[in-house]
Amino acid sequence: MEPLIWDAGFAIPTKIDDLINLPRKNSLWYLLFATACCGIELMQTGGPRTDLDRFGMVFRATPRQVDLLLIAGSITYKMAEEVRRLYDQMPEPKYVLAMGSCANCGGLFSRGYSVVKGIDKVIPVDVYLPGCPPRPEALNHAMMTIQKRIQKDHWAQRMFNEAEAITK
Amino acid sequence: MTANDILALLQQHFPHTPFELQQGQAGDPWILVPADQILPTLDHLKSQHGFVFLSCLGGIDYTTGLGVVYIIRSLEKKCEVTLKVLLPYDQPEVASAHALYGNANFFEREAWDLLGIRFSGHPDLVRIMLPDDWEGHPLRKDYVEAPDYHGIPTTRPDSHALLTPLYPAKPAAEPGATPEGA
Amino acid sequence: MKGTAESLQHDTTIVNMGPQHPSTHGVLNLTLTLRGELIEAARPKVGFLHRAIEKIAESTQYVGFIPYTDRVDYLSAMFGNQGYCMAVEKLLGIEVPRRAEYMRVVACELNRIINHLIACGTFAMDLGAFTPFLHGMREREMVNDMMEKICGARLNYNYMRFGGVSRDWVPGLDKEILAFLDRFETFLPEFNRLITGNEIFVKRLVHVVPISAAQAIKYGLGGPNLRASGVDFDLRRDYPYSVYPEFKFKVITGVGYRGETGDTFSRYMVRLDEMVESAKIVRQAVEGIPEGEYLAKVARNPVVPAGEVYTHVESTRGEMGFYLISDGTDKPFRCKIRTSSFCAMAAIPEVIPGFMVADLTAFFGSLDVVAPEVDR
Repeated sequence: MEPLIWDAGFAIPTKIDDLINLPRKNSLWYLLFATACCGIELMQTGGPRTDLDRFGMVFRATPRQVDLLLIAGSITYKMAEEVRRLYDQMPEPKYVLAMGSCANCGGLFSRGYSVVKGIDKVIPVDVYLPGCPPRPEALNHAMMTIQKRIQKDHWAQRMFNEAEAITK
Repeated sequence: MTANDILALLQQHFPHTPFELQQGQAGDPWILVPADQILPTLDHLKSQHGFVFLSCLGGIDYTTGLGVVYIIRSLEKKCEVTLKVLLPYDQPEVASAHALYGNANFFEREAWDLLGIRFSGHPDLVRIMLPDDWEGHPLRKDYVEAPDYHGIPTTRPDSHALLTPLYPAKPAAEPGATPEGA
Repeated sequence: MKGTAESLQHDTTIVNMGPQHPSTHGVLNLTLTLRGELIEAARPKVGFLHRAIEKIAESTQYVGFIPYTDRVDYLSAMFGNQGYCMAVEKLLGIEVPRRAEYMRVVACELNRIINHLIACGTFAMDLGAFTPFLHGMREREMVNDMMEKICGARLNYNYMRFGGVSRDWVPGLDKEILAFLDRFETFLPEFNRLITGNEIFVKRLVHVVPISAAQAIKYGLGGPNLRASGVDFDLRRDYPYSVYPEFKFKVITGVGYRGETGDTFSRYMVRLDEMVESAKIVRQAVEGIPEGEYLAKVARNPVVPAGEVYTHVESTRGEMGFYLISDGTDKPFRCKIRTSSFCAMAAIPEVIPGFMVADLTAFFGSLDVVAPEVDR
């Protein structure tokens, strides 16, 4: 009797996951953290033509209330520790989007002495978005990629697997 | 008023100071002032001739020594003058102009931070652009990068290999000298 | 007596404002010494966006450095281009064709308009009003489309070259610019109805942090900050460069409308009126642009004769100056960039004590400081 229940019931956690992740990905709050030029394109993407609000995304000023850290702009060595602190202050589950060349690899300032050559030397990154600065449409695409990433999160499946391991 | 007029004014007021008017092959002329006389010169120009606006105060690393350039402007006469001071590497010290011009405070901190030029009498000469525990003065021509800072590595991706080294081994030409083949 | 002001113990607190803060415009830090809500001292800490642009100049060819001049102040990128190209052109001794100069002026003044839109918009947003910012963004999107047609990019333009600009206008662009200017004439009354006449807005800004003319000159402020304090100085008129002498425009100085000269409201009003003057200049330039070359016949990457030169342009924030030292090779020897926001940060410790933290938010927005200009 028991093996049948486990095999048939496997379909249910995947459906529960789809249900849990749907509102999670459609109300992604991001931190108002704009360092340089990419910050202006971020502001424009939140503006009237390309509207981020229709994705449910609003900016918050404090890292305690956000899911998404958008690194928009160059990060210097002086600022790197502050970025690390902001990332540590965010509650789980959290996602990071490296926007622009400077956040990906240092960009055209990687020839200098003071810019970190890529923010992934300091915090883990989920999605890299190239551009200098990326167009609002490109930022939209990156946001939707993060949403696809969130859709694949396994919450119920993990609980189901742990419950299965305990009872077996 | 041109640089020649201002040179004449200065030579009239400070007859014992060896001012010198120099110019490169192209571009604007500047007045070279001895390092210990820069503060009386600036004070005289500001109080007597109306040069109340400090446009720029910057440090330069000529590979033979360091330099500080002051560009001051008179708003009524609508003219500017460039004064320059040359300093040796082993004692790069000059008097601070923060009492005359308010923004000289920040300009001098930047020159100290990036070039190592000391301004005596400055109220707060600490690093401004770089972190407080940075080592070295990066804008100098012989600066070498550290391999990491607080554990963050400074290596560049292979695609960003520098075609021209950022910190060249050979010194650049003398200021104002004729380039070879020109 | 228990519970009165005298029986409370007063002490100072040190509070950090920034570098991640919604109303410092960019990554800037102010370390405030507060007594209750009153600011006793404010110490700016800058350098969080120091990107070593001046050091990179020493190992980049002259033409390859133009994109870096965009990023010194990305909201007025055309002025950075223009200042640097003027410096190199002065050393080379070449003259820019008149059509190219007109195109440069149109690009620069359009850039001034969109910068002031963001400045006034984010200023209102700092004080809690979100709608004017979105109205400004709507106009800015239209100008961004035109900038894309002019030079191919929305934000960091890389438009100007030595001896002119990089490409000619596409046919029909002049009609599009004139149509935008006609529409822009209706924008400012709408914006004023939204926010400028609002009694709360005005009461928060008048008599807040007045900067006297002597203080503005002492700290080397420029642009709208200097003119709002009553100093009648504009580089376009007093040190004429490019083809600005051929246009008729007013230089807006602060008159102390509803407050005093040099206060926060004065700086805001000067920016609003400057947008109207810039629109006038663009209209005159587009209607009077001559035929001709858009680029002088000069090598794309020249070898510049040795010498030193200092050029300055009236950028949106004030004076942007390039002190360029050349040593006769194809790379600069030293390029020192002088920006107005750096001097504005130097002025803060003197003018802010005695005001409250809410006044500091308003004042900082009115100074229109951007972090990359401060740190380069």
